[in-house]
Amino acid sequence: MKGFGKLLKKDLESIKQVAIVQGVGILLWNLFFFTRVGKESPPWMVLPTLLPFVLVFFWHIMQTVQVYRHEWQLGGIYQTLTIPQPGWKIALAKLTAVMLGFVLNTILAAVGFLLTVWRAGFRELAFTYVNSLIQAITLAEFIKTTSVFALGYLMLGINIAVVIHASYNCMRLTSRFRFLLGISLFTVGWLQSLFASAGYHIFRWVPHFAIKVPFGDPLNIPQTVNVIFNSSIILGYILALALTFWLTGYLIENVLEV
Amino acid sequence: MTEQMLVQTKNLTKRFGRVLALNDVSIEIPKGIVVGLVGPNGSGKSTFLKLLAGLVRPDSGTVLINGQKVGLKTKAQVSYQPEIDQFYDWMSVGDALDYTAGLVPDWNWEKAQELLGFLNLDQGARVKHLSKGMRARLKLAVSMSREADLYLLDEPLSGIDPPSRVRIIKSLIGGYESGRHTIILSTHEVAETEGIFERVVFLEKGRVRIDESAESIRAAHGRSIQGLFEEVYE
Repeated sequence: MKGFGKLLKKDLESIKQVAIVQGVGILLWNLFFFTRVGKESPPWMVLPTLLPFVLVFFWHIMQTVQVYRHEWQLGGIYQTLTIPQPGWKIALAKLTAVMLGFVLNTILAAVGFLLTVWRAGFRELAFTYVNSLIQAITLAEFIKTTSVFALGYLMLGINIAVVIHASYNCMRLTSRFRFLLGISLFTVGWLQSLFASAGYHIFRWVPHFAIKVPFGDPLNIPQTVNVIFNSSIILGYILALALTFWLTGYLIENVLEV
Repeated sequence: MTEQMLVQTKNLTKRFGRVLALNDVSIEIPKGIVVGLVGPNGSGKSTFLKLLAGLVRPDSGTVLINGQKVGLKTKAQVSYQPEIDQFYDWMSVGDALDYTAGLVPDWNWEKAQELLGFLNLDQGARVKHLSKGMRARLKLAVSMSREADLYLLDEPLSGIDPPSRVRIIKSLIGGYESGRHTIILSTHEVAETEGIFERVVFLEKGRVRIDESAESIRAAHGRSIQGLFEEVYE
């Protein structure tokens, strides 16, 4: 992975300033509500601290475009495309940079939400709920379900970045008009659905898996429902993600022109 | 014994939309010489260099460097300096060197330090605070600090003040080892650079108009390359 660190550092620098502004924005927003809730606060007072989770996705999309646009705007693309580094490594550095921003902003949002919940006096309620949930579905199941949700969230972030990166590079093939990004997005989305469909057929033999998901009133003993996942759809989706990523690397190394 | 060719292009053609940037260009360049690629704006100089660097791809024809098609392997042997700025504002001069050093297989820190000193570049200076002349010096320091087989320099003197030009040309001569490295330098500032050219290729509207050794041009035409340049492109 020689050179990956240099590429990653460069890509982190290109999104650093905006990422810091976003992080500070989340902190200030959460701090505002954190200092205004108390033990007597109504439950809706903590709801605004969920807003950063939505914003994190919008900002993620912005940063995902920015990490390429910055390079084209400043002329760095001349060096990127003439160094003897494979396209996948260049693409991976950019993906890693934006995912680091996404994960850090998500952690900031989550910590802000949890601290506000804590201060609002829901601490005992939250403990009771999680404890009774673990008793209802076992600790192993609880960890499995939580992991599946966390992975799903992370995969969603990766998928957004991979599709936008492939689309951005497709757009650069045809024209520099921004509206073509939309057409490229549509084309890459369509390609990805083809890949996923192929993956679904390839992995049909893989057994399904289930997780226990809680539902119902959190004030009462939690009830759970078995959610069954079709493994071949998930593996097909992962294959599509990998192929879309490969497409970006291929375009960078073999097709893009400056 | 046949001379070993570093660059071979055959019937190279490249279009950008309706513009024919290069038209059926066939050139062979041996190892170890300095080639001047001259011509007015729009003659195809930059496109030719970009094709060798792998920044654009031919519509037809072939490009070989050391007998290989342009790709990752040839990029490891080619040091390309574009006409435009390629470094990021957040970088310092030292960062720009360090960044490139980590991405290429043939970086020579000793050479880099020498060039920094010769070109009066301060390692700690921020790229965004450098003047145009100093940025040009930095680009040259970065591209010439590699031990590449082939150096492609696109208009290294463009828009540069006279003191910087002299420094740039001197550092080119200093960093160049005859017989080992090959330099292709595109320029329309012929008067200042013709002294270092061993061979000169005149391009016009994407075609090769003259391709001769510098000496034979002077002998055959009885004038300097600058004189011939003015006559050809009058």
